[in-house]
Amino acid sequence: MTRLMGEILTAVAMMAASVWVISVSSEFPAGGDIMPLFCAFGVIFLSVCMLVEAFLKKREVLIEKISFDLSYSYRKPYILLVLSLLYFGIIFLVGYYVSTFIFLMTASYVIGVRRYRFMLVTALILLPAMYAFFELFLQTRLPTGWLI
Amino acid sequence: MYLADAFGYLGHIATMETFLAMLLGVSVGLVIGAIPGLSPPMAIALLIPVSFNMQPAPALILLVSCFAAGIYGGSFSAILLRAPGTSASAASAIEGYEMTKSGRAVQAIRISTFASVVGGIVSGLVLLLLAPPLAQVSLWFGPSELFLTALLGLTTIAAVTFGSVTKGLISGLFGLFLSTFGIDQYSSFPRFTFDLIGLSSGFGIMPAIIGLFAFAQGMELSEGDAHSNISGTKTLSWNIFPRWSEIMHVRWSLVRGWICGLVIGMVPAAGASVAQWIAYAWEIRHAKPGDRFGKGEVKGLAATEGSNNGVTGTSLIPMFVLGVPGGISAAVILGALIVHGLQPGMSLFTNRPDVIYTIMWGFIFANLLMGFVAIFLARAMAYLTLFPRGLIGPLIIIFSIVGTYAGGNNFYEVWFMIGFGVLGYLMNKYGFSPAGVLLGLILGPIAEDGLRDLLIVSDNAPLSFILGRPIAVTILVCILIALFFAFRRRPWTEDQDDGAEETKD
Repeated sequence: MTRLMGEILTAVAMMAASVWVISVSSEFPAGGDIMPLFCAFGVIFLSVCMLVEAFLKKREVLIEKISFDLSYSYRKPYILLVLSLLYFGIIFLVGYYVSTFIFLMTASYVIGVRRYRFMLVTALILLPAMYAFFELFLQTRLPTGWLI
Repeated sequence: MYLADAFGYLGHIATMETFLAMLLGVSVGLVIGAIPGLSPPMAIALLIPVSFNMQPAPALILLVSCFAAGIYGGSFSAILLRAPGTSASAASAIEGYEMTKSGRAVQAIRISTFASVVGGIVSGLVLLLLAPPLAQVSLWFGPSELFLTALLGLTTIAAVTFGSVTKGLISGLFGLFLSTFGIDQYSSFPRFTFDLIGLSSGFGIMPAIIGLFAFAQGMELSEGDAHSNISGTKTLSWNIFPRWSEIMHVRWSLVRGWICGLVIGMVPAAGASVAQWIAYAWEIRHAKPGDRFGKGEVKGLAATEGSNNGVTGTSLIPMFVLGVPGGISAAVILGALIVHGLQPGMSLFTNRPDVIYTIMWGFIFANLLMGFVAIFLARAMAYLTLFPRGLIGPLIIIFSIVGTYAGGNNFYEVWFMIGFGVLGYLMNKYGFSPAGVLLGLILGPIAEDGLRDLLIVSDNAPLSFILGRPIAVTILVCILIALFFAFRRRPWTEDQDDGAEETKD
């Protein structure tokens, strides 16, 4: 896909979303529609500006291909995101301390850290420090589960 | 008479109890402020039970010290990790983190500390010397002025956007749109809640800040070599006190930041979150060829850091003199004031001058103490920038999740925070502005409430109403000037582009 096509698709998608906002917010009573309508019309106007800007760019920029890098380095943030979702998913099942230890070790390893002793020391300092700060000082209950 | 009274109570702070109250307030504020998710109001609330056993003056000094340090503490994580601890330090993350990336973390910390300490002291002096007359200014701010102040804040989106201004403005409008989610407080009608209970109160500011900056930063750090560090250096400088030449280089940026903070501090509901962006935009408008805004410009950092602590003292003026808190932190302090048997208002200055002036002096000296504590704490925290990126990324994510959960005890807020995190990461990648979304989200409720109130009080004729109010007209002129400068060509950015091309060649 070319950069021009990418800009056109982005602008059209934003305009379509704005039309949806206009249709939904027209039902809001007592002036509750003013701000959503302002935002929606503003985005439509700016999307048109974005299209005009895109067409005014130099030809070599417009035909430049958008490359989707599928290398492992590119995927690492998304893998970390999935691990984060799993971490928050299991934190109430197995408890904060166990899930945090597992998450820190797994996530660092997946990202590429191979200094195992350093990872372990970090975890061993972090977990008691967070216990002292959150549970003892702030009196906040960190999530607990089957384990700790 | 008033000044003689004010200076007459200076000696009252020279007690061990007052010093310990300052030290505790500053330490707690700095640590809690630095952790994303834990805010200064939470730190102040945490210290209220501690203050019960103290005399009123040291008790209130404890709380106002915590407030000042909490605002500054958020800058540590903003500068070192691009994970702002508070909404008041989000703008500092832009230039501060760029400085950290180029191995200038300690320089960023010392300029930030100087700007914050002096800003806090100046703000404290204004509080001490001009509180009663300046409190009247707060009363001049009606719906039209509040609406226009929010609009002025929104114009800064255009100014602080690097790259496409159009995409920056779209980001700001998206943030404004997100601020309308939840139950409408005027009609109790649910707006964009999709029948989800978690959305009924809309999106909170804290999950948005943590997600857009901290969580997104955690994801970004996982890219590339996991064993490299953020700062790109292996050692840190021990030079923690700013040099005279450094201060002279940023002197006008500091002055602009402090003025911005002092003025915005008196505007109800605006506070440090708004002041820093206006100061940053103002600073960018004064950019000269050679300045590198968006790439680690120390002048930008000086302005934002000066403004957010410049707010602290003046934001307490309406609270002490009128009993009207300008923000959440001031509201919590107001509660503590009443708990300690003190009634806010002018009567406080006539009936208990010993207490009120001691508190104000305590606030000024707490800012000085904050500088000493902060510079050593920040130096220790700067070591985080030497950690491997592959370990810092997951650590930031752990703090983002736990901090959000601990801050609100709300399951939904964590999911929203993760959603904002993905949004922030993708926006950074594709040239949109996460800062614009945040600014829209912060200013949205102020702008919307102001506009709707304005329509009611003006009988649907807002323009003629605005033109009849001098302060509103002044703000309107400021908006027009801001827009003119925002869309004007920026010679300094062209200079940067040329530089980049030259490097490539």
